[in-house]
Amino acid sequence: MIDFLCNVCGARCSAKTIDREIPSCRKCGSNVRFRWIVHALSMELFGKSLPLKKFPKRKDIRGFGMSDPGEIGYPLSKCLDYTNTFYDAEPRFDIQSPPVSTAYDFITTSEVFEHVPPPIQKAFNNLARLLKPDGIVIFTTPWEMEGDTIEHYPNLYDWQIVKLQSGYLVVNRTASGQLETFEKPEFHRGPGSVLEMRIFSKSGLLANCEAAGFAVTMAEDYPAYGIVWEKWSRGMILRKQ
Amino acid sequence: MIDFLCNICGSNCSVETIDREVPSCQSCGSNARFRWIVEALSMELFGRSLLLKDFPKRKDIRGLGMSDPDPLPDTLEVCFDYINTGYDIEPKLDILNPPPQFGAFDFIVSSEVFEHVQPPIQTAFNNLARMLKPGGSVIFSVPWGWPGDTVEFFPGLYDYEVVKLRSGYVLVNRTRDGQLETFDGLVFHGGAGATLLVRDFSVSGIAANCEAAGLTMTIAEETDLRYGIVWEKWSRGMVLRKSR
Repeated sequence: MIDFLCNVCGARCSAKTIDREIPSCRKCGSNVRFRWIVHALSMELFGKSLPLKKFPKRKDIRGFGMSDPGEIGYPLSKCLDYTNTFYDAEPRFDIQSPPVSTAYDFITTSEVFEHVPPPIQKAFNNLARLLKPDGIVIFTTPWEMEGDTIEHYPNLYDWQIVKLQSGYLVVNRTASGQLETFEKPEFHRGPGSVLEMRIFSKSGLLANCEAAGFAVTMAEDYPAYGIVWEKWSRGMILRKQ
Repeated sequence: MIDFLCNICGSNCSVETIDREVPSCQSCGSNARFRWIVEALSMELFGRSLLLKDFPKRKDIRGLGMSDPDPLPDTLEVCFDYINTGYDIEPKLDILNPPPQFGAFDFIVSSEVFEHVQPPIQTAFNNLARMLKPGGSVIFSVPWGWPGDTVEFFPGLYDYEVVKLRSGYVLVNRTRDGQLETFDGLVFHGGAGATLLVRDFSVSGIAANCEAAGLTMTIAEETDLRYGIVWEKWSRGMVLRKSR
């Protein structure tokens, strides 16, 4: 058994296995990724790892989330100048055409960038533009150790998900006017919902970050809060240079 | 000016031009096609051209409409044992798959429908014939041309959707053998995205469909000025009869 303190809800937990995605906190259902977001944010903002409930009230710290889990987003909105945003619900935020507002201290974006329509470099550039100098992104996305990032739909431009009797497709008209179809699209959160646009590789991600002017720190384990990563798909802290 | 009596609403009209589709009755907005439907139906059922309001009450006559234009269904329902159906509104009828109780009709009206029916179109003609009594008639219209064969725009249509992209509508189809196809430049009737045009009929194509289904095709006379019925050479109405 692994004993840990959940830094999201404060519960003392004891779990057989700990996984990036599978809930392991008996009380709030947090997984490794959720607890790491809180841990990494605390380390970056306060220089020490505070449980979320102990975050100080600091309305001078300006940040926003991109579809953060509610268990994290709601407490953050109470203690910081923070708003959780969504791609398809209010308050809306599209990283490919962000508002002009800038000078954020931090952005949290977890399991979002694999769903952002290409070109993905533009999304990284926009993250950097939105931040203050030295501002940070608490960033996660699934990634592979080897190879290059695989773009499923490199020429995505004017597109829709189509449901035929035989299953889902993606139909796209490229910028040059060609029609393309793609079979067996991958969705996260259920059929027809959130389309997987790419499978990142570590080197692809690092190249995107470097081109956007970010220094990258890979997540480390923090067993006291039940944060134990595999080698792949670890969280990353992106710091604007 | 052309003076005519509208056989649908009974108004005396006077217009400069008469067109198959453009409304020409100043009172009810009927066009040449609508008035021809009434005339052709009257000739088939009664052997003479009655105004719609003079149609006798004959509940022994069984009829079927396929998205018939207003105000025909209201009157036909009163006179006959008639039901108007829609492809996507109740009571529904898919002519490729009509329910077995739909049969023994004395007449069927199918105007501007068959150009939108999914292939194979021969099945639709066969079903018309099956649903008629011997001696029954279809009052039939589609857009058609004289030369060549019927052109099927989507011959492999099987498992498909019309998709609206920012740049316009496209059709995505998986054929029966699993191939994906996309089609651009779609033509719709009734407004963008509404009713997809799936073929351009030719007269010889319709004739072949009718012959294979056991129907005899008669093309509408060119004009009947009394009732403001004026056709071009193409796309005239047709009466399709099932032999006795």
